[in-house]
Order: sequence, then structure tokens, then C-alpha cells
Amino acid sequence: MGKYLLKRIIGAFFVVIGISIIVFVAIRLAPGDPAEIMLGSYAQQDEVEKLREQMGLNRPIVMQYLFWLKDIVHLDFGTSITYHRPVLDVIVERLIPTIYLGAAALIIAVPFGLLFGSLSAIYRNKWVDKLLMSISFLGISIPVFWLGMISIIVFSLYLHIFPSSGMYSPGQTGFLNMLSHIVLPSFTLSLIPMSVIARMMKNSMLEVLNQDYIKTAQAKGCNGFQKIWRHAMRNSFVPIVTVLGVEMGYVIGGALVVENVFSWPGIGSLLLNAINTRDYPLIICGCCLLAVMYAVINLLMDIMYGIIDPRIKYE
Amino acid sequence: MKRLKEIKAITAFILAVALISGVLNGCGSGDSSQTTAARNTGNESGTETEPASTANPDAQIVVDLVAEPVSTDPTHVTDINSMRILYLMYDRLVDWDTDGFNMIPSLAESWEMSDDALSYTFHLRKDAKFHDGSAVNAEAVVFSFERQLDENHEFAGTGPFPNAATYFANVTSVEALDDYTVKFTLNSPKSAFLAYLTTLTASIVSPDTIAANASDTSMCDAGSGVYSLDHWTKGVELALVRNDNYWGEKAKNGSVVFVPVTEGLVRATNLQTGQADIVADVDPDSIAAVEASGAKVEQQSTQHLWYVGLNCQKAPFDNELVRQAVNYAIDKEAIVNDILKGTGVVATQPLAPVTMGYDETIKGYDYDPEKAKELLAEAGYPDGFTVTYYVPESGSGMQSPVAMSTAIQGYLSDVGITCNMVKLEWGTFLNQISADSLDGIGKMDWDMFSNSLMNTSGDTDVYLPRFMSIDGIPKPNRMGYINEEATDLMREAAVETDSSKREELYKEANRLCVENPPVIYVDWGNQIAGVASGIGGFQLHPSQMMHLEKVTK
Repeated sequence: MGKYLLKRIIGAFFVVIGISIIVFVAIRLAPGDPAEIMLGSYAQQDEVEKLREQMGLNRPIVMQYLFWLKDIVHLDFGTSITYHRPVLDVIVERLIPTIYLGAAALIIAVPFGLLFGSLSAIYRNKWVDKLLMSISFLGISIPVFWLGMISIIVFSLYLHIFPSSGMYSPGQTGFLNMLSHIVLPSFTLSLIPMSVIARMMKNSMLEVLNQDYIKTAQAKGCNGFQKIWRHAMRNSFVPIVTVLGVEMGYVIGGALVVENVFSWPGIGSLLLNAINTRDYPLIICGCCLLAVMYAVINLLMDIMYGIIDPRIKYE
Repeated sequence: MKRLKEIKAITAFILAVALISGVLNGCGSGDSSQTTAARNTGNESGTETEPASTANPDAQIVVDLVAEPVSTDPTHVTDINSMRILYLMYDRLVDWDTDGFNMIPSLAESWEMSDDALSYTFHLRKDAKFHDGSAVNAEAVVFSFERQLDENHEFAGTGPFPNAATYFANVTSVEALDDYTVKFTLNSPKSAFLAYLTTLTASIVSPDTIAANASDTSMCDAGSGVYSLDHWTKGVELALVRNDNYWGEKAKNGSVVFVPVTEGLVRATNLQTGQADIVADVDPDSIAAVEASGAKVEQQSTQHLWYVGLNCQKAPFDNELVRQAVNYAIDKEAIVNDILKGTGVVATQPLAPVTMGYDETIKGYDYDPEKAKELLAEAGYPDGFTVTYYVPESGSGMQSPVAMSTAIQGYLSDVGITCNMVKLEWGTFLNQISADSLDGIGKMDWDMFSNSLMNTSGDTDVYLPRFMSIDGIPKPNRMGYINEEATDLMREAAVETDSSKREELYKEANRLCVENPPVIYVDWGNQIAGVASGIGGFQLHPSQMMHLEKVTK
């Protein structure tokens, strides 16, 4: 197990380095640079040059990357061009709301996804199955942007049940206040993972229900709830764990659209803005951090396999 | 028995649902409207009918802006959202009055210009204090400018200062003559110098606060303005509170909270649900709904020209007749009424009505496709031509760039011009149309593009020469437009200190740039703000700043 973990961690390290190189080069290949954007369409060319020099953008790309790596080793992640502050500070204060939102979305998505998936499998081809699978099909197909807008119009504008945007009411803080603000965005964000989990769970459970040991259990008089709960459920979980890892990545990295629609102060809206202003240090650090989180989540998921299914051994 | 069990289960389920929805409803109503309302009308006694007389001096005004501010150091910012906030936190030596571009004293009580127009002496008021308690004095004024202009200044590292060179490159020295007198020396006369002193870049900052936050000035409050910074929760809100020690008229409300809301539809919804009191930039499509809900939509014409740039260095737009023809070919009225829903004013000339040099006798180019075709034939293009048309997908002040550009593409095809429209992300767009050398012309390989230009300082000098004189930016100017006569007039105006003579010079230059246009003049975009019912005293200003200190609730 220890050797396996070490191998995985070293692997993840190279993945992150690779991602940093790709992002570093890709964002610099995009036309336009932060100096140009900051000064707008009517900037004097020599002023742009001067600002570029101050930002260290006139060095060759390779040198810029090496300087960046050198700073990272010294735990200096750079200074945001837009915000004039250390990028790590900027990112961490925005990461927390994203984690709240992601967690809330998963709290909705996982139990409901599992429930809907199981129900569909148990009542296969009955109306329950058809209804739930239609819902999950819609859930995967509806554009998140549109759903967010519609839920704001329905639940905020017409029904006045939930506030339309933000994380807190202006001038206020507190957990309960946040709770009312998180409902709409987390529901919107949960729909895709919930649908994916439901469909996965249905297939997985159907497969398990066809296994010989379930038939044996049935023959021994174990039926209904007991059959599902004690024998089928846990065995259906293994593929779900894989999906869960992917979906956790989705709710953190893919929350961008939802955060923008609901003005949620998360990392998605921060990074989108960073890309628009070509805030290189912020983009690179943000992407690497997401990559690290993704790698960690996947590692945890791999360890989870072993807990759910003791037959799985790590070499 | 079985039946009973089922009933039990169903009852339990219904109870659970009722409980959950109850909890959620409770949270829902516990938010914005009720609690804020209770808070804001703290000392009222139930007289809702007369909002004006029951205005609460400690009310909290919630303002939705399009994006979050980037810094609270006024020398850092170039975006309108930051500027609108910092304008209230910081004071400048001089300012515009609340109605328009009339200069009034601010931290400087009076000032004199030397006869050669090369030096300005300011006499500061003695009762102004920074939010940190230190006095606003000559030393602070010198510090505020030297920090940006002197590369060897102790706090030069608190930059970069993107606008310093644009406005104050010709300032050679700033000296304190005594505690409350400051002298600026310029190396060449600049008639717009005083106007530049009204920009955020010229804000007076507290040396103590800057020194204490030297490693990071982007979150400190070094101002002396009518509000001071209360808190800034990143991405969530930035709150200002009334400065009770303010030297001037104090704010009529207790605090202002700025909330970043990117989506126009969501800002409009916030106004309708009472989650916001004032929202910036209501989308043209949302105006009807906002007004129907009882809120007001305030509009004001700005000096924000939306235009189509034409490459004057390259065929076919190097021909003056062709540039006139495309101006005739566009139905600007229809664009303003149908696409912008009346949220703009048809542009007849480069200078907007509030700007010095505007000439109301100029009627601009009517919609006349026949005339356009004649001019094209005269120029040697009877069958039209094909060009590439760069259009940004979004961008500050760009109104509805894609819809407007698509309409323009259609009008041009009516007179035989085929535009291949290329939609670009803002940063890519800027790079695509920008020149990469000082003499610019070398890289101008585009044909036409949609863009807008805002005049933030209120002075014609930052605006007209920038894009229509040979001394423009980037040199000679974005369009590669060479008009020696107009350039000479603008050069003369820049150093002319008599304002009526100056106005005549700009008028003449303006007229020349209409007769021989480097761009298609489309419209001046309105600034639009939504104001909830029960809010009083809100007024737009042509500089796009917001005098929120006058707002009552």
C-alpha cells in the first residue's frame, strides 16, 4: 500500500508539472497580454512596453517559466497582475466558497443519484424507471446556464423563495444566510452529477441483480428491501466511486458557469476573469491548484475502492 | 395491518416534506428584503407613504456593479467598477460639480496658473483629514504624485501605475512651498492639466497608510473621501461607511455596499426583488421589466462613442470617398432604436454633446444608400469590394457589439460591400488591431473593426487627438488617419489657455474629422442605472462616476 501510494504521488507530481507547462505555454500563445489589456485599446505603445518590462513579460518564455519554477520552490507563487496581491491569497479566499458550493452540490447529487439509480433498477421498465431516467436524461442535456437563469426567474423573481445571487445578503454574514443563498446554485450545479450517478447506479445495480449470488439469496428467501440493501447495494458501489471522483472534479473545476450566473464568489469566476485579463500568474497557479486537487481526489477514490471492496489489493 | 403501515409511511413522508420546505422558507425570508428593510428603517414609525421625509440617515444602500473592484489603491485601477467605488473613498485637488464638467475646488481651495502656463500653484484647505487621522497637506500631495512619477521614489514599488504616464508625463516637479501650498511644474503647456487632476490617478493618498502597507497597497484605505472603507470580502461585497469627519458635506446615508453581479438579467432581478437599491448597466432588454416592477431606469448620454474603425492606410478605405460612403450606408437610427432599444444617441461627429468642441450644427451622415453607391462608384468601386471585419464579442462599454456589427454588415452588403465578420475575444481583438511599433502603420493588416472610446477625464484633449490626430495613440493613430490640418488645430488647442479660443479650435478640428471621416460614427452609448422605488437623490454624471453620498433611502 505504502509503495503504491508513493508511486501515485510521484505520478501526480509529474502530472502537475506537465499541466503547469501546458498552461504556461498555452496562455502565452493566446494573442494579447496583460499590459495591453490593462491599458486598453488606446495605450501608447511605449507605455505598454514599459508595463511589460515591469511585469517581466519581455523575457523569453522558457526563462519566464524557469523563473516561475524557481519562485515556486521558494514557495513564492507570484503576484496577481490584476489584483496586485500574492496569487495564493487571492485564490484561497475564493477557493473556500467553491468548496462550499461543490460540497452542497454533492450532498444533493450523491444520495439522490444513488436513490434514483437504485429505484430505476429495481422498477426496471416500470413508470418509475421511465420517469427517473427521463429526468436524468434532461439533467444531462439542459444547459447549466439556462437552468440557472430559469431558476432565478422562477424562485427569486416570481416566488420570492430564494435570493437571486451572491453568497450573503449585502452587509450580512452567517451560516443561515449563506444556506438560503446556496440552494439555487447548488441545485443547478448538482443536476449533471446527479444524473450521471443515477444512470451509472442503475446499470451497476442491474448487473449485480443478475449475478448468481443474488439469485441464491433470493432462493434462500431473502427478498425485497433486504436483498437490495444487504446484498446488491454495496456491490454496486465500485463503479460509482470512479464516477464520483470525476464528478468531484466537475463540481470544483466546472462550477465556473454556475458561479458566473449566480455571482458566487468562487474560483471559477475568478479564473474566468483572470483569463479575460491575461493575469498569467493567477491563471497558472489556479490551474495547478485545481490539478493538485483533482489528483488528490482521484488518489482518495482509489483508496476508497479498497475499503468498499476488500478484494481489491494494491501492488 | 399492512394498510396502516402504508398510511403511517405516507404521513411521515408528508411531514418530512413540510418540515424541509418550512426550514428552507424560513431561511429564504430571513435574507435580504425583510432584515435589511428592518435595519434600514430603524428609527421610522411606520410612515411608509412619505419616503422622502422618513429617509434614514444611517440607511445602507446596496449597489450592484458589473464586476468586483481590482484594488483600493486609486493609482492601480483602469476599470469603471473600481473607479466608481474609489471615487467616493478618495478626494482630488479639484473635481467636477454634480451636474457636469464644471470645475470646482476640492482639497485645493484655490489655484493659480503662471502666465507661461508652465506652473500651477494650489492652496490646500486646512481642515481635511485622511481616514487614518493624518492631515491632508502639501507633503501628502507631493507624495501622491512622486510615488507614481519618480522611479527612485521610496514607494515607487507600490505600482505599477498604468495611467501615470498618460496623464502626467509632462509634469517635471511637484514641490511643497509650505505646509498647505503645492506647486506643479510642467515641461510644456497642457490646457487639459486641470482636467487630468480630476482623474482617479490624481487622488491624494495618505503617506502614512501607504508606508504602513507598502508591501501591498491594494486593500488599504489611504483616502480622505466622503466614505471610508469598512470591509471588503473578496468576490462577495465591498462596504463603505460614512466618514463623519469629512471636511465637506457629509453623506446622506450610513453606508454603501457594492456587490459584483456579472449577469445583466440577475442584476435586473435583484432590483425587482429588492436585493439591490441601485444597479449599474441594465440591459436594454430588461428595461421594460424593471420599469414594470416600479423601479426607475435612469439614462444619460455619455462621451462614449461606438464606432467602426477604418484602415486609412490600405485600400479600399484609404479613399476618403469610400469612408464617406460607408457612413451614408448605415441606418444608425435603426440600430439605436431596435438593437439598443433607445439606450444610445445617434452620433453625428466624434465629440459628444457634453464635450468641448461639439458642434450642434453638424448633422452628420444620414442613412442614404443611394448616395453611398454613387460615392463608391465615383471612388472606382461600382461593384463594391470584400473586407474583413473584426468584432469583439464583449468588452467594457461595447453595448451589444455582435448584434450591432451584424446589422452594419447587413447594411454594407446592401451597397455591395461584403464584410467577412470575425468575432474575437477581447484580449485577442486588442492584439489583432494593435500596432507593434512606434510608427504603427507597419502592422496595420486589418480592414475594419468595431470599438468604442470613452472619455474619462472629461477633456477633449485626452479624446479627440488620441484617435484623430497624427499625435494619436498608437502613433499616428489607431486608424492610420493622416489629417495635417486637423492635427495642427488640435496641437494648437492643447496649449491654448483661453477656453473660448480653445473651443473654436476643437470645433474646427471636429468639423474636419466629420467631412473626412476615419471611422463610421455610430452612437454615443447611454449610461444606464436602475434605481429601486424609495431611493431618492440619485443622479448620473457624464463622467460615469456615481454621487452615492447624495442618495437617501
